[in-house]
Amino acid sequence: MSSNAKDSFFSQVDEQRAKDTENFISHMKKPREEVEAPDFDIPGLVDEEEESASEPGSAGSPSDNNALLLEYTSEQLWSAELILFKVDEVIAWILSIFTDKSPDQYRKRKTADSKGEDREVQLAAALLNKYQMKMSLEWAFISLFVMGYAPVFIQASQDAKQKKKKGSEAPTPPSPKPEAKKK
Amino acid sequence: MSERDAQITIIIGRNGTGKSTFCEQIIKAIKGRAIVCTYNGMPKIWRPYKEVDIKDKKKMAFKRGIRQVIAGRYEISRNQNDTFKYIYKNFRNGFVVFDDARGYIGSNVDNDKYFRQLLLDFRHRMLDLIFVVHTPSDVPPRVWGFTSTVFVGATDSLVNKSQIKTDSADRVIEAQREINELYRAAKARGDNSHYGLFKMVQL
Repeated sequence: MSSNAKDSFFSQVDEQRAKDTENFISHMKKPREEVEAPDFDIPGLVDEEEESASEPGSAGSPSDNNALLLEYTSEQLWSAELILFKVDEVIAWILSIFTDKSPDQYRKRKTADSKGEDREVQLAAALLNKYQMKMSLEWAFISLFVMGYAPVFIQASQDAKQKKKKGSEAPTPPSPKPEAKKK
Repeated sequence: MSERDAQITIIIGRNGTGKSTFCEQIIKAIKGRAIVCTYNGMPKIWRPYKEVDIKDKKKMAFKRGIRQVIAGRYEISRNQNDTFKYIYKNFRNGFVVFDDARGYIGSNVDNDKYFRQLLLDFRHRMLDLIFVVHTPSDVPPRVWGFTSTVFVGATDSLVNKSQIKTDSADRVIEAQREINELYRAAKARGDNSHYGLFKMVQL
């Protein structure tokens, strides 16, 4: 930052924002209230020797642990959206095989973006958090590739079987009779 | 003089908005004692300040001024960094600034038991925690639940309500929209007036 810019650091702000910052500073200048800590040692924090690598969500009641797991990251949320979208696609396609209708009729998720408000996506993200799964680019690419192409491969395999079946059912053309020997 | 509770503050802004400078100006104005954690000594603004070894409790008992802590020095492995452990054990009654915190804070608060305990105990330990970050998702979602004040600077990262787990998410998003507009207009003027554009939101 140039010295001019630094000198005028707070000069560009409007009156209200400047006042807010001043109020904040004067509030923070007050001494901190001394709060007495409860008189007990927290296991694993006081004695270094007792440190052990604890798994996230390993302590506390089950409901506490579930609440902690809901603190998934935006990456986990994104991965959950993508996974559910692709699973939806595959399920819709499988259902369409039974009914011979378009897979689109059975799609529940028309877009991968849930805007973070979808409970199923949130739960899937919490599961990713629970098992600490992070979607690497390689994993994401392979998963998408497999999920995207699996229906096509299955369809192709069925088509091939049908073709073979039709081929075996079709009457075999009569083999040309050998010409009679000229007498 | 009346007393106050120790509190958590978040300063958000993209590169070049002057968030570290803003934080420095605030701490200097308050005239308290502070440690500033960076992963590797960046941004440069903190370099003039003397580095302190957080393992040494005596050195952490300085009376006034700002000390620099390089969190990368306390990294044990990719998933373990002892910075929070030593801050928790050896620092009381002051400001702790986590600048560009993404580098050494895991996405899940419970990944580091000392970080988790800092969040639970900062009032007992009389510590004001200040997180200086690029986007709201750079701090673990649960930190938002403990936060009292946010200074919102320009950032184009889309703020997702699910990242800010507080009732005030809408006000943060609104402040972001307002500051982004001001920032773009200031940038267009080309007179460096885009530095230090921050709007305070009380959560």
